[in-house]
Amino acid sequence: MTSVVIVDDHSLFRAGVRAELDGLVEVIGDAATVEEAVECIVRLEPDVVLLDVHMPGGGGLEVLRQVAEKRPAQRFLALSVSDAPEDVIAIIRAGARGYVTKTISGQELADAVNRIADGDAVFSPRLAGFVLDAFASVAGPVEVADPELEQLTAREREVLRHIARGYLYKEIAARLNISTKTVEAHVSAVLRKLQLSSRHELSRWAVQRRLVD
Amino acid sequence: MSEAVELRRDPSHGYLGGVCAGFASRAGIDPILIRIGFIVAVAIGGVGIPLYALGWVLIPAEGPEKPAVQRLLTRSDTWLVAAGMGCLVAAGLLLLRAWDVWFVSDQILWPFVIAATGGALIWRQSQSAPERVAERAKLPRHTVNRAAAGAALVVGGALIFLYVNDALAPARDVVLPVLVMLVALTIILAPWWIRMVRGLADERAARIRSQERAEVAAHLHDSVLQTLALVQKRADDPREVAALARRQERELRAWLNNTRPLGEATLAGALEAAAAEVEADHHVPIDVVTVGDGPLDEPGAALVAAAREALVNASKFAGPEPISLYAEMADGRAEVFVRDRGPGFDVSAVPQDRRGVRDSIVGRMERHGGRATVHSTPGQGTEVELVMEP
Amino acid sequence: MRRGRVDRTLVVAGLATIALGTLLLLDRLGSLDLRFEYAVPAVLAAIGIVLITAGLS
Repeated sequence: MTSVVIVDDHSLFRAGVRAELDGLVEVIGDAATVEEAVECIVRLEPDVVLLDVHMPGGGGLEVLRQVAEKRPAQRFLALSVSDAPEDVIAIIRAGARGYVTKTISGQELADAVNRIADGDAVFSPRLAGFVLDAFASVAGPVEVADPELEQLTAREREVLRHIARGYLYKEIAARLNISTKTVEAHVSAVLRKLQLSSRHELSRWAVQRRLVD
Repeated sequence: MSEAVELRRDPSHGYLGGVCAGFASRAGIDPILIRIGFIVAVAIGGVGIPLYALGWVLIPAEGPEKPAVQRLLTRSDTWLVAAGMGCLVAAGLLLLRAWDVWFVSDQILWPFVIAATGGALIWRQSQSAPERVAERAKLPRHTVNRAAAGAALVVGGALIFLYVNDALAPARDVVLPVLVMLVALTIILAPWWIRMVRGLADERAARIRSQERAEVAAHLHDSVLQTLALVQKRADDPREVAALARRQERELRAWLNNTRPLGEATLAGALEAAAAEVEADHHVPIDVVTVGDGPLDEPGAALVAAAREALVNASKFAGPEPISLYAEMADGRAEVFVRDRGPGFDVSAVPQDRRGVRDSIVGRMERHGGRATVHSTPGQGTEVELVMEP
Repeated sequence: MRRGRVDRTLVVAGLATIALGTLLLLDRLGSLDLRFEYAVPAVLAAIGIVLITAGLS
């Protein structure tokens, strides 16, 4: 079974997730602060880390940063109450391979964890919406350094839209007549673009959202 | 009383008692002319002051009356007027001296004048305690620029005039000591001034913080505490509790992010509001994802109504699994997908009542130039696709 | 300052300069004898009027 470490400053929530994931994945540890988390992760070497975005002492971003120095191959799944676009995009760009909200069910969470352990990315419908929004406003008359990196292909956009509409990967595969693996590959490609594309454009998008919305 | 315009004071437009402003509006001329006349009357022999006081007391006021001192302080130009009056007074004093009508010895008078000026400046700064006054204490830049330009012109002309008349040398004897004293005073008083200004800024920041905290407390008290109390009461009905929690979560999230309030005049806002209402009525969770936004025009309103029908339909027949609403808006074109995970149905063999609802949705969209399609597969849920072209 | 209204301060400043210049001229022409003790009050009064105008508008 996939091994997981839970990082969250709410003890009630940690206990709840443990209970929900019981039998589906193996929870080998949990931590409540940034320091505890880094120490725990480096020592126990889990397959996936369930990481809360908002924690005192720098939050999930700080954990990502510190662990990246010591264990760069660690995979993170970001978990949070917040669905503010700035938070979501920030933690993805810092290296998390997926983002789900805390209202997710136990089974779906376990599926997400397993998918991350396999090396794929997990996009919640809302995250897919944010990404579509971000790349929609980046594309346009703006000068881009690497067009491939700055924009989504039509296929990737289609896959993201289906995710935003609430389809599961295998349903998307059926609708678009491709294999589930291809769907996963598209999602991973989108994640890579999100992480590597020009900081300037995406952060400007985030600022705009904060100001305009 | 006849309807003719009576002579009235105008305290809301005046500086002190609004006497000049009242005269001006009665006579139909610019108040500034009356004011200059008044100031000249004051400067000549103080004859203007008792006249003004008489006017203040005898002439009835029109409009609300603020205390004179407060009014004086809230006008940012008072500083300039005071400085101007100071110059005039100084001119008068020097003139008196030239006419040998001197009544106070030099050594006392000039330092007193400078000290009074410095004191007035400091008093002005410290008066900015009320926040409103501190706001207005910033002089409008254009006024300062113009005053400076005017003064520079005059001073330049005067200097040229004096230089040509070989009269500059005695000026040094007067100007230099004055300057030295001004500089000395500034240096001595500067730390106090700076500390006061900084203290005012800190006080203002603290006040803003406590205001915000009060706002948060009020909001929490109004909505969140009420919801939590309700949740405890209905704890045995999990669906109700979940619905309450979701609604409160959505409200609190919107409040925290300061996002567009639900139901505002944008398409995305209207969709979210419709989803919130349907969810409140039918207790089936609805996840809303929107990309882009657009204004809420008539076809947009039809789209929202059609989406709402689809949501209600899905809530009634396809609960309790969550329903997904996805909306993509760009350049006037709007696409909405309402997807549920209900039993699904065979699109071609539709029972009578559901076809009625479907026709209603399709008809509504087509009447406004859009289209609606229903995709469904037995066992895999239903998706209603609504498209509105510009 | 509202648009469309004449900029009073500059007008008054101009007038004051003209007045001072006239004094100078008269002094040069000999019809007026301007001593320094009168000049400084005149200058101060002019500055005062300009400042007051700026403050009142």
